[in-house]
Amino acid sequence: MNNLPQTHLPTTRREFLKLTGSGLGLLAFSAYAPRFLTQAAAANVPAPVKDKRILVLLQLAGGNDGLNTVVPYANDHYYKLRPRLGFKDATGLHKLDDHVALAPPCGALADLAQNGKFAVIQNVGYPNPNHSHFRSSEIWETASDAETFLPDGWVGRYLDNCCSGAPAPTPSSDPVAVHTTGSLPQSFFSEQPQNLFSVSGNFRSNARTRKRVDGAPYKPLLDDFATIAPAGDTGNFLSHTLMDALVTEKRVQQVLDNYKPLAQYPAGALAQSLQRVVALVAAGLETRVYFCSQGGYDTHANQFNNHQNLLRDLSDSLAAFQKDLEAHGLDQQVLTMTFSEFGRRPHENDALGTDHGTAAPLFVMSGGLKKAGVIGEAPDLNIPDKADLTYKIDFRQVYATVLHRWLDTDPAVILGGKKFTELPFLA
Amino acid sequence: MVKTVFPMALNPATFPPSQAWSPLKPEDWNADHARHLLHRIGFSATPDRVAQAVKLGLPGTLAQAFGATRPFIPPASLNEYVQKRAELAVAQRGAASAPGRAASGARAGAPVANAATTPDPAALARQKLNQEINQLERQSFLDYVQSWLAFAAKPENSAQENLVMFLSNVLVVAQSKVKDPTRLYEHTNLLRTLWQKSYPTMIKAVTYSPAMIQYLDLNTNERNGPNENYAREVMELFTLGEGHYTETDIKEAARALTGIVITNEVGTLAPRRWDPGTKTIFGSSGIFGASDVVDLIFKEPASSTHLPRRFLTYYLTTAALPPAYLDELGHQWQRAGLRVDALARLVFSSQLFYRPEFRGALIKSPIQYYLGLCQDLNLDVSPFEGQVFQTLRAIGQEPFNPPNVRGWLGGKNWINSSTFAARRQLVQQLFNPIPDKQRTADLQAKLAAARQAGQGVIAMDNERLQRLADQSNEEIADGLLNYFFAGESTATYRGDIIDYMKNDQGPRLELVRDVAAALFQSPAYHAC
Repeated sequence: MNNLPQTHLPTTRREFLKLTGSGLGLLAFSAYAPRFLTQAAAANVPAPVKDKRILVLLQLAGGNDGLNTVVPYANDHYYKLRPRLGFKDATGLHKLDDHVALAPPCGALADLAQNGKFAVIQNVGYPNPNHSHFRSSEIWETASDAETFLPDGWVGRYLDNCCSGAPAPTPSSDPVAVHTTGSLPQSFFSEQPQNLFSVSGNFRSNARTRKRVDGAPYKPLLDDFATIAPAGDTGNFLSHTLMDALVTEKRVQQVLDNYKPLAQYPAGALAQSLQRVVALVAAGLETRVYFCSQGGYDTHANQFNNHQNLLRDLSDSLAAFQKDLEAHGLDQQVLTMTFSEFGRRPHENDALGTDHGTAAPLFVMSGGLKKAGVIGEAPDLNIPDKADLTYKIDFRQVYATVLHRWLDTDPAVILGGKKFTELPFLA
Repeated sequence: MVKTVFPMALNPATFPPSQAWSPLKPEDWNADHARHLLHRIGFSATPDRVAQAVKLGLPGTLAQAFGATRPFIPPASLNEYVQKRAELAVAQRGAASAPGRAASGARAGAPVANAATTPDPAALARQKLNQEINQLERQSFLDYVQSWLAFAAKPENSAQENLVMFLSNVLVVAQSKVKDPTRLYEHTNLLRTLWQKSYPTMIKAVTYSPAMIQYLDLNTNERNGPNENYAREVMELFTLGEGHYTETDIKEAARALTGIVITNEVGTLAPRRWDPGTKTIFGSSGIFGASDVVDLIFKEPASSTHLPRRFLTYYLTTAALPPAYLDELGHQWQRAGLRVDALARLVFSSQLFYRPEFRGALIKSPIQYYLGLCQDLNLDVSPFEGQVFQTLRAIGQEPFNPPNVRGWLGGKNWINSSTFAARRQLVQQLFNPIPDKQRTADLQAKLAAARQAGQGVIAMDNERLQRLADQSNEEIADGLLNYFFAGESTATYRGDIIDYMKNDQGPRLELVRDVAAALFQSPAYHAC
């Protein structure tokens, strides 16, 4: 390690090759050679098109009320369940078919559905539903049964399965998965250490520059320290991971600085997160999975306006995101999927809110959808007082579809050996 | 978990297990060994404490670190929590019985003025109470975390609290499910008061710990509807490990463990919920109860190596040692009556522990990293309980809230680009703090209170950095490297530091700040 030339860490592999030269061979054989070096040594073979497919997960945290999002306007039971919180009739709703319509703020999503780029998957859940935010999120993020506790996330297992393991080196220094949340989503938990990266709210590269007396280009001291690996396996690992992190951080900062949105986004944290995703995808990062989150869906009281505002933010942000991707020529390559830990109770409560429920619709959006509109049937609303909805589509059917048809992976390997019937929204 | 093949240098044929676990010879005790020990049992090894350890000798140092139990007094807000929580519970019961509009027939279609646009005040009040309870639980929890961090940061408490952290990463409960901070405190405190007892005693006590009863659903385990959650984890994660029990053992043990409930915040046996039938566990049959389950488990051979294995992973190496070493440690631990502190003494006194291949082989956990920085820089734990928690969360370890019952995996799983960035941000906060005046009034008040209590030094001040900046470039490099890294594996850092001080333009104070901050973000500082 120590014969690596002491130089400013480059932000691209090409730059790195130009600046270094010898010493590369040794590095490539080290157990933890930074990914950008192993790839540089392996030559610039363009990745096959399938590998360019990207998944964007959008968590609607708190438990989204499905019935006031995808409204079963033709079902009399809906109006009985929601005498005060519900819509009075179909006025202002955006009909998707003869049964259901999107809430008024979701006009942009309805347009996308008409253009074949947006689908609602109805009544998604799992057996023996859990009403705890934490546990139900964990079930969704680890793709487990309600009775099973899995230590790693479903995306993490996908990454372990497809993106790691000797001898084939990981393709690049780019992170395999990026999250725009402050802490690591459980979906990304993995057995193998993975190159994960966070661009959360206050992301800013620590790149302060000073001038040098001798006129040489400035390099932060940490760039030098990073290349000096302490003895042993742990030291190597730390040094190489830090190098990767520094290179990625600078690259990401550059990408974000240079990015110009090609669509009009609303203000707000969700739109900011999604713009960052476009910026990174457009810059050609080889990241396969992005994770964003929008909070505030835990609407126990005074739900109506709060919830509709959330949906407006969601719809406008997603539509702008899709338009931006299209303008960058990336819409066929990116699949966006929402999820929420649970839906809400069909009966409104006396505080004009809704309590923790079970099944709910989720959204998928892409220029590469095979089937848009409504997939699956609306939930049965002819239920006893205070009862929950009964799911029809297991959330792992959605995962299996995405894993198999979008990420080209055997879903059974990721989903504990179980077979789940896939859905027709992807070819 | 990442498995690493252990270097072949450690070979039971050439370095027999009996020798490996025999005490280090007094004449071999030196500063290097002392530094290694202090880094591993606590959070840092400052030169003054290394010198003291050398003087005390190894047995003396261990006697000091693992002597009498050091009580942790929970913050006053935890007592206030109990009071307020009780008041809110009374209010909640009152609100629940208040007649709501729904009861007066709104749902049945009876017209109620403004019913379509305004919520029922009684229902709103209930929601508000729920929110208040959540906020109270959250705030009391954060206060507890902050005061525990401050306690653990005191060097004299560090070894004990690190041991408590180890034990609570085996006997896991998590705040995500156990929201009541007093339960979390009581659970950890149980481990703190029992680490000088035998491990079976600890397991028996933990079986009645309200936090554990709640976390692993013991309170739903009753004769007519067994819940096997605790029975499974007690064997798989606490005492034996996978492959050392059958599904029948779990089912039968679950029956023996029925009937445990929480009454007035105490774990008790409700005899009518307990299954009085005959159970067969590990081939023995009897009318067993909870205590018998533990006794039967510790008759199984795997029980003598399970905790030692976890102990070595936490304190020595995440690589798997050749089994002969573990077996021998198990024998010796059994002879020592399975006492938890005896295990610590066996390992930390041993020749094996001081082998050179283990130096710098562990990655500091986020809490170790943070408390180590506080100790190395002689800073106080920040009084901003919310910020500290957010920081540790971003680095990947929310105190008292492991992601699941397996606990934190540790090792290389601590490190990725996200967590590295968060570690670096923490160092930046310590070296480039926000000016006091730019903080919110609330935070300014907290800081003022901390200063009054003599605990308000939360960032590197210019005065201390200036003292460093006044020295020559070589003195700066040598001083920093010797003090914080004992000159180890950092010879190359020296040239870089001197070059930086010489060639980069800026006030010396700022250059020194850059240098010191970079050192605490360097690969070497994350290892111990």
